[in-house]
Amino acid sequence: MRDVQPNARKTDESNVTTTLAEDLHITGTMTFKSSLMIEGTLDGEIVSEGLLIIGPTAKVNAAITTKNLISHGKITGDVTASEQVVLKGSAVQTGNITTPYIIVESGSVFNGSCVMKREAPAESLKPEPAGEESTSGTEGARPHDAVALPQEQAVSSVQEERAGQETAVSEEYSALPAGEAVRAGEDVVSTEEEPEEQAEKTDEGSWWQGEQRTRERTSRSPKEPKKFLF
Amino acid sequence: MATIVPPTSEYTEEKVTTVIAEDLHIKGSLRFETSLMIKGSLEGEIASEGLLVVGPTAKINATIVTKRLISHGEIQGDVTASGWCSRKRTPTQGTSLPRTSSWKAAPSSTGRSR
Repeated sequence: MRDVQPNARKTDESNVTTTLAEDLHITGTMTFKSSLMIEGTLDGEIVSEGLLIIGPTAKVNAAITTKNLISHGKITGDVTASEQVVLKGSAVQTGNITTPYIIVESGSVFNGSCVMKREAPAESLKPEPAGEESTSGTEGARPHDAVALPQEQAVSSVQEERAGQETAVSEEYSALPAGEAVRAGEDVVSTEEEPEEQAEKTDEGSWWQGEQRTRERTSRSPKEPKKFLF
Repeated sequence: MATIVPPTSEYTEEKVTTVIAEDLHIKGSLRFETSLMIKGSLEGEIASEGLLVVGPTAKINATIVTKRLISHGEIQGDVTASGWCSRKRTPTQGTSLPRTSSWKAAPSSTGRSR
């Protein structure tokens, strides 16, 4: 994909390889490489690596994937153009358009949404300065770094950070016996996903389960005063 | 009364309403009224009330129902021509066959090509 807007002269309508006349009706899938003008009707799908021209008399009911599209006619269906879409004044487009560049002339009708994705500038892909440590993976990622990470990695880094905060709270109970401290750490981490029914059962549980409830409150609101039920 | 078959040389690309180029591939059904020349490939069905010209580079795998047919290319499928049909061999299709052979199809007659 190019950063520069496609030259309109390159999408010349006069040198079209194939022109499907008005009396031609096609149902099915059509693929081509160079250029095609449709003046008749088509129901189905069009896949192209070249230029597709929809004539003023054409009625196309199809999902279109092409490089360039110039429409004078009526299209019903989603359009994906890797380079450019031009809706001329007589064009009627019902469906979504995905393309990096679009021209919508006055008089045309466009009912749908348009997504314009272009290749990111090269500057944003530059590596970080040598002075900073590499943040490969999620270990060194800071909270705001998670934005630039892929979604799965960002989620995992946030989860790790939360787990770290909860572990810090559980470390305050290090005075407990070793087995209890480990259990406390496990409990704190797992309380978020624990069903409420199980939490209610702790009312009748042993003394350390009561302690667990106190830690749940502590982990949910760290600023509240800590209560020890010994 | 015998049907008069005009020479195939009359049907040049300029005189045909639609010419489907070599890079165009269609899978499905196709219907037209006047005239059509296919140079690309087609798989499915063709229904016409006019003239179908199959170019030398064309590859057709379809059931054809038309009024008139001129074929220079490959057709696989049943052909029904209510008017007449003409098959013209090109050198690329084998030298063992007559270079040019044409035949008439009686109205509403059906013949299998190849």
